[in-house]
Amino acid sequence: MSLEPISGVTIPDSKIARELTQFVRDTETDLLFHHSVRVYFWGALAGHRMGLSFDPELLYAAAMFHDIGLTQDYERSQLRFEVDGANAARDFLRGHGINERDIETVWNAVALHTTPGIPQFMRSEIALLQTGAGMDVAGRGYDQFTHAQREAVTAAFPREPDFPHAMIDAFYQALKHRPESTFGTFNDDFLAFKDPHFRRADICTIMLSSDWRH
Amino acid sequence: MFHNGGARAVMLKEVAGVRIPDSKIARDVTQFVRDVEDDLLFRHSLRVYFWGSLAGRRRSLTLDPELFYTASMFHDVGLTASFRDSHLRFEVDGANAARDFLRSHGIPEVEIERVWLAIALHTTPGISAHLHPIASQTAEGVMMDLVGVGFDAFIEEQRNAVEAALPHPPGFAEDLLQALYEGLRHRPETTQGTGLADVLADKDPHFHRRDFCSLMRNSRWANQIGTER
Repeated sequence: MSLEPISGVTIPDSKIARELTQFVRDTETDLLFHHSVRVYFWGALAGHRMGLSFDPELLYAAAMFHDIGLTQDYERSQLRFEVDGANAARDFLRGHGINERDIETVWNAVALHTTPGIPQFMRSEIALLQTGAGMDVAGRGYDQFTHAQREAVTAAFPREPDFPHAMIDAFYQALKHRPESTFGTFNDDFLAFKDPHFRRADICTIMLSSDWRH
Repeated sequence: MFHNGGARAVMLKEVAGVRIPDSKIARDVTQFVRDVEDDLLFRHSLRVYFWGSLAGRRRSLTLDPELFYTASMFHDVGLTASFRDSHLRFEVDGANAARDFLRSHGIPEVEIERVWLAIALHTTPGISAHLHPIASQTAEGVMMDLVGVGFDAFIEEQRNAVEAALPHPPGFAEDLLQALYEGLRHRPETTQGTGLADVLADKDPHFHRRDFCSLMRNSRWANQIGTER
């Protein structure tokens, strides 16, 4: 993917980055693939704006793998989809000789990208992946990007006409066979939205009826 | 501030074959936490140490007793009165307190990071089990003590020994939910998208649980369709 830099941000042009792109391109729908590339740009643009130092290749790896756990490869997994993505990223990066500390950073970034209030205190790549994902799915920090940045990123990697519902559907399709994996996260909102029979587990009820009561 | 139960707990050295480390740093941990937590949280934290250690042995994990003791004991420190002005997640407050404590005791950063993450993620389901044993055992100990997850995997003698030394008090679940609420009521926004939102919803009739689908459907992007595609 060659592309003019957007406010100085480009997709890393290394062998590993190209293989990453190919791997995810082959695995994901356009919806998730374009979303993932936009997440990289929002994260990198935010990182530059905040003056953070980060490794663009690691951020790119994290962004490209962050929703892999939503693909059909995991239709039998009972793990959190975030963990499936983190493990896939780890396997990929190990196969490319990346050192374990950097792999751990990418693993944590992917595994924690839906966990509120924690990644911002961790390494830059971990924080920026969540920043990028929050911007793309929920418009978090929308006004901190310039109009030109938003135009350039969405022109190169378009948002689908009804992106929110398409994403909600993608989450639902990927999580409906593993509703337990959404407990205590906001991923159960996708199941509740799509399935009128879904009952959210409640931590208070669970605590008040635990084995310790017998 | 501490009732007899707390004082007796401090004297504990070994339960079900698991020892509380007998070192200066462990004694300082005990003292620090005993000074800021009530009996309910203090004794819950000690049980978490024992459950997590016992389960770690069962899994043949290598667990540094001092670091694991620190993670267990500090895991709920963020719920205490010192953090009534904080708008961070209580888990992060506890993680930061443990980090400050360990730094002042000269522990290497790489180990501090493990304790930090263990505490920060102890309420996040499905992640800690994949991390370093300090994190996996903190979460496992917490889930055993709060809701009996893995109850039957513990040998009955172990359960009885821990319960004899540090019994769950009557009304434990209700009191712990109240302690969570007291620690979170001034920062309900920090619970959105986490399991702790259930506690706010249970205790506060005005609490409005955020729905992520609504957030997506009504985001700033919603106004841009047609102009920025």
